Amino acid sequence: MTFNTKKKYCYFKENGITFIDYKDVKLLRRFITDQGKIIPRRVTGSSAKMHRQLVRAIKQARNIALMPFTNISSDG
Amino acid sequence: MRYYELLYIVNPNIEDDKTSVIIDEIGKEIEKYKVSIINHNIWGKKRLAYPIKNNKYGIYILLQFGADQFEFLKEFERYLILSKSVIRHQIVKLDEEPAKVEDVEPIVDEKELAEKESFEIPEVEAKSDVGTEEIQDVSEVEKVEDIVEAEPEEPVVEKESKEESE
Repeated sequence: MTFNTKKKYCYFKENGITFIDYKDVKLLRRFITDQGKIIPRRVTGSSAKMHRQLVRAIKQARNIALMPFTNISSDG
Repeated sequence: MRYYELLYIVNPNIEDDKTSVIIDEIGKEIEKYKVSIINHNIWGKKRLAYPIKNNKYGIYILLQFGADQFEFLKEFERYLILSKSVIRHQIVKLDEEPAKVEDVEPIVDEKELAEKESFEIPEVEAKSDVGTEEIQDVSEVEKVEDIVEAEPEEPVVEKESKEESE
């Protein structure tokens, strides 16, 4: 049995992002699946502090129709 | 002083001249409450992630302002809900004072542009096809028939070669 030993790093800490804006859809798109679900922290490796901000930003973007709640059809 | 950001979507079916009228109306409405407007810009017409009131597109407008009190926000939100041209709005509190942006280029939706182009191309083709030159079409059909007749000979040759190899 082999374990994946590659360590995950927080994307925001790596790139020096301290504030996540809900209007920055290009950034938020990285953290949702094709269906529009938020990818869990254990997969993305982002820190707890930034993940809380991220979740809030995605939900705000969904409310104002910048991002989908669900994505049943194939087009974005 | 606290700083707020209002992003609202205007119904895309209204004319372009009237969007500026709506912006003025909302600007006047919020100025009643002794508020200092920092930015009030049009983002542009964008495709919505999901339809709102059967609208696929919407005109996004961003308003950033600073205010000393916050009690008026409830009243102002009620005004936004009641206004027919605004189909969705969201007020968010900002941590810092936003920078003043002077000239914002409206964001052009890439998908929208692509759709427009794809619509234009078929129209041009349709125009060229209309009318005249039926005689040429007949001759083309004859040529196609000739090719169809010519084609089946090749597979036969292949089959023969296969039999030989076996």
